[in-house]
Amino acid sequence: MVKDSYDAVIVGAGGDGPVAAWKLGAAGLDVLVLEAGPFYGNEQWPNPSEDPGGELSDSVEDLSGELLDEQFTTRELEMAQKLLFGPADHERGLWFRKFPGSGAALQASGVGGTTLIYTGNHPRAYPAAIDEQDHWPDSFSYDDLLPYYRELEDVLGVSPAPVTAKEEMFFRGAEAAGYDLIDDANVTETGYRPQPNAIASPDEKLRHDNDYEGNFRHPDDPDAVDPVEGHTLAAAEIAGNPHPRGAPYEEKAKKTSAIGFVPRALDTGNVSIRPNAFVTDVLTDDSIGGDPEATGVEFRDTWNGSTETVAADTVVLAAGAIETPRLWLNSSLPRNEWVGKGMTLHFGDNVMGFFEESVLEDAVGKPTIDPQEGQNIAARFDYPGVGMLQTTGSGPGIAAILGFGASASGFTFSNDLSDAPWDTQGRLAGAELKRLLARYRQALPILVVTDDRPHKHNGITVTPGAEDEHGPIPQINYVPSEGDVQRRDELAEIATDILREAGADHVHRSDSPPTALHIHSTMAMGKVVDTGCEAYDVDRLFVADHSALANGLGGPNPTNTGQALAARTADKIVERYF
Amino acid sequence: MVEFSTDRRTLIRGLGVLGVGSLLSSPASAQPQPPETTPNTRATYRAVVDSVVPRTPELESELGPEHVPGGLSVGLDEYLVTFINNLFSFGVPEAGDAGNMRLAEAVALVLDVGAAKLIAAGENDEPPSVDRVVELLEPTDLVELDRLTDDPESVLERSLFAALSREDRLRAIAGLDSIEFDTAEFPGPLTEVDAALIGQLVVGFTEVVYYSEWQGYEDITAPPSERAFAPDVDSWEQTEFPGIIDGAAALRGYWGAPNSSLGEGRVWDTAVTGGGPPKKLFADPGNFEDSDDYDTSDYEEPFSTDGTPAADGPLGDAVSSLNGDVTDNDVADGDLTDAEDVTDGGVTDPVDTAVDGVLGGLLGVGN
Repeated sequence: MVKDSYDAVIVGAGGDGPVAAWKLGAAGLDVLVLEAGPFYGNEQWPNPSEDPGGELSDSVEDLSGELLDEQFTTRELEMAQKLLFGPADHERGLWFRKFPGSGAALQASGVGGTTLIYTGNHPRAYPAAIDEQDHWPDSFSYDDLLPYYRELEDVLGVSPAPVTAKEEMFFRGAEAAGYDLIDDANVTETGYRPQPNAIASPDEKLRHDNDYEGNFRHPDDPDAVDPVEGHTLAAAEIAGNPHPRGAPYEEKAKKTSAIGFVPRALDTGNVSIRPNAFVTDVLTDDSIGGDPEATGVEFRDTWNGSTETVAADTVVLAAGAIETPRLWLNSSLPRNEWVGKGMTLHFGDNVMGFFEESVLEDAVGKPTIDPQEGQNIAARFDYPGVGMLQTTGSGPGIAAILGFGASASGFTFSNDLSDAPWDTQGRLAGAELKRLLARYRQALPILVVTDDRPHKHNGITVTPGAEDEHGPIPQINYVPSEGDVQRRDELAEIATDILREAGADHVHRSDSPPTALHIHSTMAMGKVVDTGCEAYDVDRLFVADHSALANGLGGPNPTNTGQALAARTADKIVERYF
Repeated sequence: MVEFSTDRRTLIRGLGVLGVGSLLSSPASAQPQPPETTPNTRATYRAVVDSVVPRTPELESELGPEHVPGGLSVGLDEYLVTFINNLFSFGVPEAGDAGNMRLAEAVALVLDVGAAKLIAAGENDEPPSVDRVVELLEPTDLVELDRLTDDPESVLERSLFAALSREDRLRAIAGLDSIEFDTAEFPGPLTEVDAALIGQLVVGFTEVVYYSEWQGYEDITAPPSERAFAPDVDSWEQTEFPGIIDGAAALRGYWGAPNSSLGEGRVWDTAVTGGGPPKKLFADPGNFEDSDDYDTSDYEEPFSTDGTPAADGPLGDAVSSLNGDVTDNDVADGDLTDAEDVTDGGVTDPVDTAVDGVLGGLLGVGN
């Protein structure tokens, strides 16, 4: 049963909420986490997509690796349908967000949030994006994050990612293009490096020339043949990766926030997690004069539609950079001109190289790159001030839509590319699509991730009248600036150069429409929240998700920084109110 | 040329198929009866699949016989209708969860309008032909058409998108991206806001579904715990994807160099020699250096940092799809929803209002 009141209620068990829950629980606070989606791998909900199941989970004993193995098949379409942002019930579609133009928002629901589909990448922000770009308050610096980065990276076991054929091809290309290997965690120079990933390293048994004949199962699995621990080198992160099969819940290799932090949070004995609970209102008391004070929230059960309220001494918004501002705007909270505004989303693109079999034989000793092997994203290129590149292995369905299914520049046949360094650009369909996908195993896709800057015109709005069962739906507005477009073009050219140097005979650029994959800075520090991430306009209301970041961190994947800031915010909550 | 009409009556009739009118007028408990997919809609989705992942006999000699089948041979068109009809859930604050938004017919209509625009602009390479529509349909569809209408031929002529050649259909979809439509032709805000999304839906989703494991399910809409799957997938043969794996013996080591903190332990291989220090593959990952002495004083901005929106490229796409035009003020004030030139096509009667209201409510502006 959800109690009447708690010391802290956290809205959202996504990438960051569980970190705050763990810290607050460890400090002795009584904590409730409300999550809109289901709780996978938990015995309270044996069929979380089919039945309402239990009400809440407050014990680490509820967690089950066996259930996670059943629920996370790693089949890419099924897992996308299961995990993308929508209600638990498999018969219902996604919750609708309006994204004018042809973009899309890719977030997941469920305990773990978008880390359920993230690729485990855990780099830090570029120090200059915090200390030199002027979006952050002067009284906050990269230094404030460092102790938290170090602590959380240690908890998650963040380490340099392993090399399979696709990483080796990328590194060879980067070397040949003249870039240096970066070996610093605090990146201030341009260069390439293995991804710092929150994924346990693979067993040495899985060496490519080792004739491994086991079944990749964990030693705890009675059916394991030649068991292994750590990552199994099936590129399944985007599809929920529960490997190794047979491992206890906490020993799954990919450390989603559900694997990495939820067990720790529950282990404090002070944290309860209530899934299938969509928060629709933040309750306040303004009878005391001055700024109103947060006093609790109202939430709606996504299975039966009933609503409940719960009181709290502090309310922590961790619903993500779309839903957190939506919730603010749909609640009776003071107007702040920056709520929802200044969104960055790393304005992405995809550049894919194709290699002749003989080129691959010479480089890696086999005729294929095999993007389905290794960790999905295990190699990167950093360029402070501009953004980053990362190799992206995946199944063929995701490769198809990333590379060829979506574009802001029409179809390949209508684009004149006489001056472009790539060979084709745009959507691809028909025989030409089938020709290139016949080379799927000789392809190396690279994701372009731009250091787009916060502009006030980009962000989340709500429109009364455009409503679903949780109130006015969020509309995502995004128009890149000239500089953002230039940065993205520069990165696409570098990606092309690296692929050519690696020996690619055909390079394709998607020219992707703006897609919200990494989303930040919609409740920015210095604009909506102070340096302790407490709202300027509402006391006892904190933000502990990527929306509190003041910019896009320079381009690096934001999970590590979002979690570090959430951990720091938890400390501030305890300091200020308990 | 086939006569093709996009008048409001046609559109409203199409939208009536959505069942949204009945949904609006029957609050709370009532679940609308799912309307049937019409032969026109089936023809449109068959045309989409036929263009995006066609049967390709021409690839047999080039790549092998396994590259001949396309989406139609595995029934992808039918699933696409189901997929689009179940993509978004549909709930209203007062009535609660009301199932999913039935969008297949609306999307099909937008494709037909895109085809009409292409033809009106003279940008099609080949004339549309009802014969193509007939070829796409199954005999059972034709029988059903006969049952539904006294004038099957004129109904078939409405499937203008399906009447185009494969490449002209793609041109029609591309035309939706740039939205040079007279918005008065559309039933309220649906296509003003989301026409560009149609291309991503019908191209992107057709591709991701076709190249995914979809074909291996007996019934992908069954409850997940009862879903039977067999790894027998045409597209996996075409991509040589080995199927769902639990792991791979693919470890080549950890990248590093003798003078770097990256890479530790035994050296398995030397990968790169040349300009700099040789890069080797080590048995252990090593670690990243982590000092407090990072120095950002050399930081420079290579490109402009002001917020001037880009003049073309994705801007044109994103902005034009909002309302046709966004003024500087709209951009400056950060709210792109309040541009005042939203045209609505002259809503007058109650049916129009209901349809506009629901689609407006679901999809955006206009209320």
